[in-house]
Amino acid sequence: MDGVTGSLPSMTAAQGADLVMAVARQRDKAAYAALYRYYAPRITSYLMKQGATLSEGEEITQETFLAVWSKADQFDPHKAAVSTWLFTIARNKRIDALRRQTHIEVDDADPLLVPEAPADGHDVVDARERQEAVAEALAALPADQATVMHLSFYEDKTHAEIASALNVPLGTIKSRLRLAFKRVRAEIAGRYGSAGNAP
Amino acid sequence: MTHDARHHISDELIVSYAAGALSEAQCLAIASHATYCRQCRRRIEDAEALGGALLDALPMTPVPPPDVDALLARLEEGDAPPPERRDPPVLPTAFAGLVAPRPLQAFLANRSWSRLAPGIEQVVLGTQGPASARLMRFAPGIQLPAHGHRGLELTLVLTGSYHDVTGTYRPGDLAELDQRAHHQPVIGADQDCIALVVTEAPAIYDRLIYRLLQPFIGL
Ligand SMILES: [Zn+2]
Ligand SMILES: [Zn+2]
Repeated sequence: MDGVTGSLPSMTAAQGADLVMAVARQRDKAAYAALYRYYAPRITSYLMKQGATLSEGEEITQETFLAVWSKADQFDPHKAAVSTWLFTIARNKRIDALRRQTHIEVDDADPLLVPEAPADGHDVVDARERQEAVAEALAALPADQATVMHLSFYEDKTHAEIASALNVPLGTIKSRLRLAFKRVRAEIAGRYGSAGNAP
Repeated sequence: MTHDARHHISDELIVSYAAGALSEAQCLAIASHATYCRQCRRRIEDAEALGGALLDALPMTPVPPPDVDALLARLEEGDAPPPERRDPPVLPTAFAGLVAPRPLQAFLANRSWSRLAPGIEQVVLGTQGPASARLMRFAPGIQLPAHGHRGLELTLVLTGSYHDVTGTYRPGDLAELDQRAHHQPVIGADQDCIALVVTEAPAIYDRLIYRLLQPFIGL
């Protein structure tokens, strides 16, 4: 298929970050095209799993990449991996386009914002390592927990709808989700000392 | 803020928020709590990292090859996403002095308080989609009617405090109650309590008189 030729078989967080930085600093079109070739087919899959038609999926993917070009300078490689940054942009565009709502987020310039705890060397989560920890934890989840996590992110379903689709009680779905999220956070915390402290 | 929030967002809601499954009103409550709470911001980042990891693992839907110039030409044609607004919203005079997270302030334009009952005022916020968001102001010391819930009820305290069977809630604290929960909030005696209240469905009041009044107050 033409659309995916020339795409890298995999992209590490470091490679992805370098590409976004090249877009931000040098307005590098080749780097931008490489990001597109790797992520556009995945983002379109994500959008179609969320109920978009192919043409809606392609359009929202294009809007996502227009935002990548204009917001590249806001990408902070210490805060999020490229895959996560792209996921949040695509998620927000999807909510805008398909649900006509806004994904309301914290305003980083809010004077009310309680600041991050001062970095003490143990508390700083490097986005790249966090992403590795998350991927490993995800791969090690028991099948029932992995399924619920997949459905939560990739089907536009409420937990109640997931419960009836899988024919298990809602409470079971919620506890699988909690367990899965705790395992993922424990994997992150294991690498960063206190970083994964849960409230 | 002089203290850390003690009542936080549940794991289920953090994951749903990161996945983009919540309504706008519920997002407003989550983002408002997270403004006060660095631990929940961290948890949201962790959940979003899950979204990123799952994206990496997705199968690929073939898409047209990148025509970078055509794509970027759209930016020039004014198809660009509008620049993000960084200025603080301007609060109407009715809310002068109100301490509220910015995402919430953005919903207060052209609104004002209306009286619901003695000691209770509200502003219905114009969020899109299911679930409704209101700003509520309660006089010191009043006792709210006992009630159950038909759906999720999220309450974020902005000023003052209240308590019920589940604990005491102060600025930045988020109460998350579902269908199984029943309570009777009592407002702290020392000052007004202003709170963001997000509900999926009207409450179920214990006493008939409140059920009869419900169509008029809409809560
Ligand atoms: Zn919190
Ligand atoms: Zn209630």
